[in-house]
Amino acid sequence: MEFKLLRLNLTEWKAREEKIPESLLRKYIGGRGLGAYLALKEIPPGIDPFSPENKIYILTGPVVGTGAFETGRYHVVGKSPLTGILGDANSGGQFGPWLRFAGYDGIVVEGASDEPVWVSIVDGEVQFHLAKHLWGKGVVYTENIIRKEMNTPSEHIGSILSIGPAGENLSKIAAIMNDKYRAAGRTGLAAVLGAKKLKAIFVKGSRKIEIVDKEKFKEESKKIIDKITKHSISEALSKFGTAVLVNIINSHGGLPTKNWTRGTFEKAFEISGEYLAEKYLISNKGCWGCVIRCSRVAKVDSGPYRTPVSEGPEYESIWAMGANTTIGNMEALIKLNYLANDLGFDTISLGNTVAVLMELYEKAKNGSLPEEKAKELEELLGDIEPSWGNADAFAQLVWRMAYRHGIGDYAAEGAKRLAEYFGSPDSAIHVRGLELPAYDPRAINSMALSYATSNRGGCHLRAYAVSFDVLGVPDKFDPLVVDNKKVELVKYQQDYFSVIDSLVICKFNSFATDHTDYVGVLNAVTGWDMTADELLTAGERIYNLERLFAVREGHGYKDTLPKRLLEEPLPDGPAKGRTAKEALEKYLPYYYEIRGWEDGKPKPETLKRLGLEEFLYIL
Amino acid sequence: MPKVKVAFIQEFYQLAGKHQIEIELPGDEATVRDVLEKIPEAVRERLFDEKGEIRYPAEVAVNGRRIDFLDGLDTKVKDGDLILVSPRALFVI
Repeated sequence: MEFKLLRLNLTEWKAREEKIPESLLRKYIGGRGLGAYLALKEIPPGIDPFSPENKIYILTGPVVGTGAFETGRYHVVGKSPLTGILGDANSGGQFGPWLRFAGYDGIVVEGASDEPVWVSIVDGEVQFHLAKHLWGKGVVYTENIIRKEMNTPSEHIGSILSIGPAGENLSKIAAIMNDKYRAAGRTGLAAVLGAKKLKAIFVKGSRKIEIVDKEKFKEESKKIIDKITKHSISEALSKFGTAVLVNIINSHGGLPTKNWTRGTFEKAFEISGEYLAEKYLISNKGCWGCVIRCSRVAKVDSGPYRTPVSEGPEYESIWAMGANTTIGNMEALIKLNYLANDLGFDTISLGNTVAVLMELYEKAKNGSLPEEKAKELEELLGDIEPSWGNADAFAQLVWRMAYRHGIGDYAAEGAKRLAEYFGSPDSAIHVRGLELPAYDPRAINSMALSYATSNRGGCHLRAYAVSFDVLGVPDKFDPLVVDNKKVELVKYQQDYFSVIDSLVICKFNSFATDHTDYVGVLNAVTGWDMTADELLTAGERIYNLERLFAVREGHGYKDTLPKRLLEEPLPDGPAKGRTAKEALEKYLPYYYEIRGWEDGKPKPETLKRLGLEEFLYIL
Repeated sequence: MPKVKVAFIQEFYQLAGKHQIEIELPGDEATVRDVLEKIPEAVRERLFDEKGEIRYPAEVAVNGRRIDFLDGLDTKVKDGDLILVSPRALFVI
């Protein structure tokens, strides 16, 4: 198995190839795992994430682009400017497969350019191009121009990854975008590319992906595809997309509303997947090689929120920009989603940050902000009035954040820094600096553990405890009852999802499958003889490795939740009167026990068991 | 008269033709079973199996609690309750 990295030195505008030894891949697989390993080895401790010493790893995995099942993704890793620890994000679309077809299995972005630059990689040939004419431009325009310059008009051929003005202007909540509407959104890594002045990467080529045992590969991938297509979820996702969750989570009282001060939103139906499908949906769309095709294609024909045909919005974006700011207007949300994508924002962080600003605005009005801060806020806002549910103010704020005008300069720093600056730190709902996604752990108690122990910060994709607490997969649990079996499931999902992100496949595969399904395909592609248990252990190794990055930085390994979720009971819905405190306090000791951790740090014997002896020095 | 709301998700929404309906309770001792007798027939056909039990992979919840963790179809309901009829297994990110 050959895994070829391309190192792009932006300081010198030079590129060089490097082969990753197979022994390393067997330990860390690819994608997220390989990225975590390389980052820990190569990024010096304590550096400023915006310094040229930081690196961005854009990686595929061994099965990406093979067409085995949903294998159209890529993973990005680097030191996050938002959290100050290891950040990572994942995206679908076409970029992952086309990167491999262009000749490389991953790219490492190093150094920093003096001038804005974009890079093309076509059949192994790398070229650096000046990007002055693209700097300051939105993602859609950037892709259109690059396609013209590369003489590749068809969006089915080749792929582009880029950053919007948010990333250029070092917004800590900026998303790396690809294929216009796809986002490697979380942890603000687009701002690191902005600091390196890398606007975009174009990839195209005709390299064939090596598959060692083709017969076995066909057989194993057919098994998985059968499982996926026969599962009821595939049809559901295809028909309604992720936003079908709005009504379900709302009915459980876990749809965070008005900056996490309530658990239900009275206009939930008007921002639901059912409503979107009925009123605005044009078609659905899939990533490269996908059979589920969950992505929405929508538009708004007329009125103040007129929006061209574009992808989205997804559940998380609808919640963050909708219920959490009490905007109950689907047309406005389609527009805001389009703006956020084009300017290059992480919609989860963006929605949370604007919700904080709305809360600050309310506090300034009712006199509960320090006087001088209230005055400063008023001056910075100028003519914007970010009252609850004000979609027009939100739209203006997105622009100002992207270009850092007035209040936008402060909001572009993300929820935590914004709230701290204005003297109301508990208004920001985050873990390790990363804003939380759309599930309230006061109503869905396994998410308390899932969020608190997530290595990259507030995230639902390290362990998606909603699956068993609400959706009954793989088993049903009561979301309000504390049960240690859920701790074991959270740990399992964290390890299993590390495998998924390192193979770099879609997590939507995983409702119908578990880790034992993938080892056959992996072995067929690579010629290895790995067992399912070894694969899951690799996931555990990766999870520990990521934690070590935080331990080495000296912060970001304390597992807790925001004060509001621990101390303020939900005032409404089925979880009325509950906080997340009891669940977290009961879950955490057992979690540490089964992880082999102490106070958020892996024990030396755990590292030895997982073959991580070379990192013992960190403890 | 005491009333409850019944909300339909996804395919049940399509079958019901609307997201939410209101149903009057027959009396103080009404159960989920009583309420579900009054929902549109198309939904009932999909929701119940031949034994009159909830058909996999559907879920029914009262105020966000799945009835499996309450008293099943015999769960008591009261004025103002929200009953959710939803497909199961939506592993959605």
